Amino acid sequence: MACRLLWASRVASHLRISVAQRGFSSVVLKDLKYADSHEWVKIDGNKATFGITDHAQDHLGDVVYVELPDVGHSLSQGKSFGAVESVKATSDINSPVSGTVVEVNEELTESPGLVNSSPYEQGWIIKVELSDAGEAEKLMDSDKYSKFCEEEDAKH
Amino acid sequence: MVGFKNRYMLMEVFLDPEKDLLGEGTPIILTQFNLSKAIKDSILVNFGECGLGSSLGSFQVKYVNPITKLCIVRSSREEHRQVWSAITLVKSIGNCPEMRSPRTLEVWKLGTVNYLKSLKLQEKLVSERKAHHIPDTLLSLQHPPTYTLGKRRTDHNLLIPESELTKIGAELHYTQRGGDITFHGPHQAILYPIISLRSIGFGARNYVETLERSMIEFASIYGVKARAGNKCETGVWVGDRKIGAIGVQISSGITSHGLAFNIDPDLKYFEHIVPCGIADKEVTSLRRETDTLLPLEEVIHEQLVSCLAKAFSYDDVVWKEDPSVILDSQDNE
Repeated sequence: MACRLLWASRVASHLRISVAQRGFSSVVLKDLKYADSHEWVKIDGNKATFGITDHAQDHLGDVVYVELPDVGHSLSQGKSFGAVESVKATSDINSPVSGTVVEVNEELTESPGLVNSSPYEQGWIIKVELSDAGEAEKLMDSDKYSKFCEEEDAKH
Repeated sequence: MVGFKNRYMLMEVFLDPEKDLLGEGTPIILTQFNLSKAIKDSILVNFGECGLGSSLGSFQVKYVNPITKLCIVRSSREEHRQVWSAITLVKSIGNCPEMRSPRTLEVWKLGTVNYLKSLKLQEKLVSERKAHHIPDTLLSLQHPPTYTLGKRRTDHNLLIPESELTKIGAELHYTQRGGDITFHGPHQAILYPIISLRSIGFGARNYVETLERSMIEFASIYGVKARAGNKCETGVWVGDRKIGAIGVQISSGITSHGLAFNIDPDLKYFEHIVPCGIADKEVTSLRRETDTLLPLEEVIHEQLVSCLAKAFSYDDVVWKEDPSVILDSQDNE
């Protein structure tokens, strides 16, 4: 746990953001948007990059396989586009926004563990061209997402 | 003004959206109006019209935060205890009952089911569970001799050619579950939980660990000391011998596929595969590991189901004895 917090503070200082260090809370970055199925989106004009959040990778366990969609595949908000396998469980990844896939992270085929070690940077999953920029409004910002994670974790 | 003496109470509301009475899946939004109405109804029910009349004077819901569910309620100093107790007796706001309702698991005992049929059944149940049409459901069954592969399609772990399979009386199926190749057959207890992980705040890791714990607890009934696998060896082991396997699919937080526990299957079938992709490790069964006399298989299956229900903290287990209800309804589609 200590080394994760250390990593979290290093990421935070690198990105020049503040992260609430409240015991076991996961890392949530301020300039990203989040879906309630635990994917993050980084929007850059008409393009976006997605991946799964630190909270998600922690709850999944060690990822051993990532199923990536093909380039050109079209996505709709909330629908599944791929999957990750960890601890003998395959979990769907849902698309936070609609669009078309322009690039996939091929490195994940060789090193699926990047999703665990670097969920916001090297563990990015796909890059898309947005079809509806307004959809991002439906997503949560970092504060709402942190609260959402806390509420979920409080359920058990 | 000193004349009006009030008390302000801070409270937090716990809503259980899983039990939406309207059955439409619309989330309840906490507002001053519906909280105020709920509290007034509670005062009326518990303290009568006289109680309601005397409390209404300074009663007001001053602040409601629908996200954190924190609320501030004002009432007059004389009546604040009455209002306070009425608040604690509120059972529902709008149409969403509060507090955690008891969690029920519906268990279907299906006997021996063909693998493809069980796959189709699970798909149907997963979409019904997603739509909140059914509660958490568990299928308890066995399969005729069947080899199955997971999403990674590790067919290099099948050691005989596919054409040979019919000669030994087995089928082969590709699935979307996690995990490697495995064998299912008679006298192996299979449980497929179709449950909502989001409603219990579980991720894949917690879910799989709880499945492992259920099997370990079950094995201990027969004096067998089982343990969870090491990293990358998910499953349940007795020493270096595998007795229980897990392979799960999670789609929008709803689980399918599940676990398989060897009661007394024909272990020779495992010689044709590298079970779960782990070479050099044996496969074993409850029959081999215990000297205790085993009861009827139906009893054994019920014990395994009870261990799972306990591990997942279900309050209630409902046993459905008539498999034709869900199996045959599929054929009509």
